[in-house]
Amino acid sequence: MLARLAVACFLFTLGLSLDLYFAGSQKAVARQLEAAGLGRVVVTNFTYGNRMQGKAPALSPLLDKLADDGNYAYLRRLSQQAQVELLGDAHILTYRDQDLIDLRNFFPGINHAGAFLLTARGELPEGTRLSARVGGLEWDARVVQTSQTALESLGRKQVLLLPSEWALPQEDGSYAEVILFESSAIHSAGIRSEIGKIRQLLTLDEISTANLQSSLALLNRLEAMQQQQALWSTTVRSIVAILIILVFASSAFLEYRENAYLSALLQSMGVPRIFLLLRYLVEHALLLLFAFGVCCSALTYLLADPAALPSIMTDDLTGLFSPVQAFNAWLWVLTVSLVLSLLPVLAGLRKEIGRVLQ
Amino acid sequence: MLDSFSAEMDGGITLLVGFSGCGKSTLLKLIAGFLRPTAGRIRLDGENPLRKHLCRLSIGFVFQQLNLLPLASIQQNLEMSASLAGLSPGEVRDTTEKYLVELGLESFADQRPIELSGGQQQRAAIARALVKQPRILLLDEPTSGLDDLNTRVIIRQLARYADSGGTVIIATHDTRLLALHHERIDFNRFLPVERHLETVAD
Repeated sequence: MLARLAVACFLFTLGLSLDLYFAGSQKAVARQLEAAGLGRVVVTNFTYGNRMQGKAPALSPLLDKLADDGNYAYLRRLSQQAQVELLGDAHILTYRDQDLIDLRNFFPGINHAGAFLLTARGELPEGTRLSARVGGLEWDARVVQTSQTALESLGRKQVLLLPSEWALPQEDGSYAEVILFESSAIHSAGIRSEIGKIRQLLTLDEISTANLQSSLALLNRLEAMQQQQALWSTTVRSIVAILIILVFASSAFLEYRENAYLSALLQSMGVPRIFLLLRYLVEHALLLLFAFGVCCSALTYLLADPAALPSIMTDDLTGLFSPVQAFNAWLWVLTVSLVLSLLPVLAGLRKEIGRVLQ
Repeated sequence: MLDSFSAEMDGGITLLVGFSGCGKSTLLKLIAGFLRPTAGRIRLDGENPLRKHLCRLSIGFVFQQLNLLPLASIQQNLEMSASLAGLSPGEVRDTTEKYLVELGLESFADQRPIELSGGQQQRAAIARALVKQPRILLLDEPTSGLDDLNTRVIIRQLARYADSGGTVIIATHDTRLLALHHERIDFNRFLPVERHLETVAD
C-alpha cells in the first residue's frame, strides 16, 4: 500500500509540477501583456508642417470610427525635447482638453489639466513635483507612474505631458499624432478583430505612414505557448494515468489472487460481488485522493507562500488558462485511473466460485 | 461432466450417489450457483441462483473441504454466516448458541478450526450452514472419513432439519447415510455410456 502511495505521490508531483511550471511561464507572459495593456493599440502618424496653421489631424476620421469600440485618447508628440530635473531629456506630448477624461483611463494619476511627467522609475513617488524646461519656459510637472511597456509605446524615455494650449517656443510644426486606444474586447479574438479593423481603416483613409503598435505579438506568443503546453499537459496526464493504472491494477490483482479463496468463500456465504469490488474501489480512491492532496499541499508549502499555488493557478488574465479546467483534467485522470485499475479485480471476481472452493 | 439431468426437489432428503467424478459435486455447485451450467437451467423458487445473490442466502452449503475461515473461531465462523444471512444480532446469538449445542461444539466455540479434529470440523461446517436457517442444505460428502459416532450426530441433525421442512441434498458414497429416509438419485444413470464404462473400469 505504501509503495502504491509513493508511486502515486511521485507521479502526481511530476504532473502538478509541470502544470505549475506551465502556469508560471504563462503568467510571466501574461504579466507583460497586462503591463502593455491587453487591448491597447498605439497608432502613431508623423506630420510635417506648422501646427499653428490649423492643419487638421490626419487621424481624426479614425477617432470617430473607434468611439464605439473602446476608450481612446489623442496626443501629439512634438519634435522638441524637454529637460526634466533629475531625469534629463523627456519627450513632449500634448493633449487636448476634451481628451483629459479619456487620458485618465490610460494614466489614472492624471486628475486635472496641467503638466505631468510619465515615468517608470519607481524611486520617484507618484505626485512628486519636478521642474521641466522647454526653451525658455519652465513648469512644475507632477510625476505619474506608468509601466515601462506603456511608456515605450510613447517613446523610449520619460514623457512630459502638456496641455496643447500651452504655447511652446521655437516649435517647428513637426509632430507625430498618437492615438492611444484601449479596446473594450476582453478576449484575444475580439482584440485581433479590433486591430484588423484599425489596419483596414488606415488603409481606407490612405494613411500609409501610420505606425501601429499592439500587444498582438505577445498575445500570439502566449497563445502558441498555451497550445503547446496544453498538448504537453495532456500527454503527461495520460502517461501519469497509464502508470497509475498499471501499478494499481497489477498490485490489486496480485492482492486479489492472494485473497481469491477468501473472496470466493464470502461470495458463497451470500456477500455480493459488488461489495468485494467496493473494498478495492474505496482503497484505491482513498490512496489516489490522499496522494493528490499531499502533492498539492507539498507544492504549496515548497512555494513558501500558502497562497502561491492558488495565485499561480488562478491567473486568468486572458481567459485561456483555466485552473478549473486543470483541476477537472486531474479529476479525470483520477477517475479513469481508479476505474481501469479495478478491471483485473472485476475479471477475477467473475470467476466461478465453484472453481475456487472444493 | 453432467448431461441430461432433470429433477425437481421440494423438501426431504435426497441422496446423490455414484462413482467419483460422475458429477455429484458439480450438481450441488450448480444448484448453489457456484458454477454456470453450459446448457439448461436451474431455478430456486423461480430465480436463477447465478443472478440473485439472495438465492445463496437461502442455501446452506457444506463443502467437501469444509472451507471454514481458518483465523476465526468456530463461534465467529457461525456468527459471520448468520450475520451475512441477514439475521438480527439477537437471532445471530441465539441460533449460534443453538447449533453449537445441538452439534456438540459448545466446548470448542472459542477454538479455531485447525485446533479441532476432523469430525468436529465437519460438524462445525454443518453448523455454519445451518445457522443461516437456509431453505436448502447442500452437503458434499459430509461424512467421509468420519467415525460412526460423528456420523450419527450428523445424520440425526440432518433428519431433524428435513423434518422441520428443509430440503437436504447430499452427495455421498457413504452407505451409512442410507439410514436416512430419503429419495435416492443414482448418478451413474446420467453418465454417458463410454464414460460410465471408463469409471467402472477405474
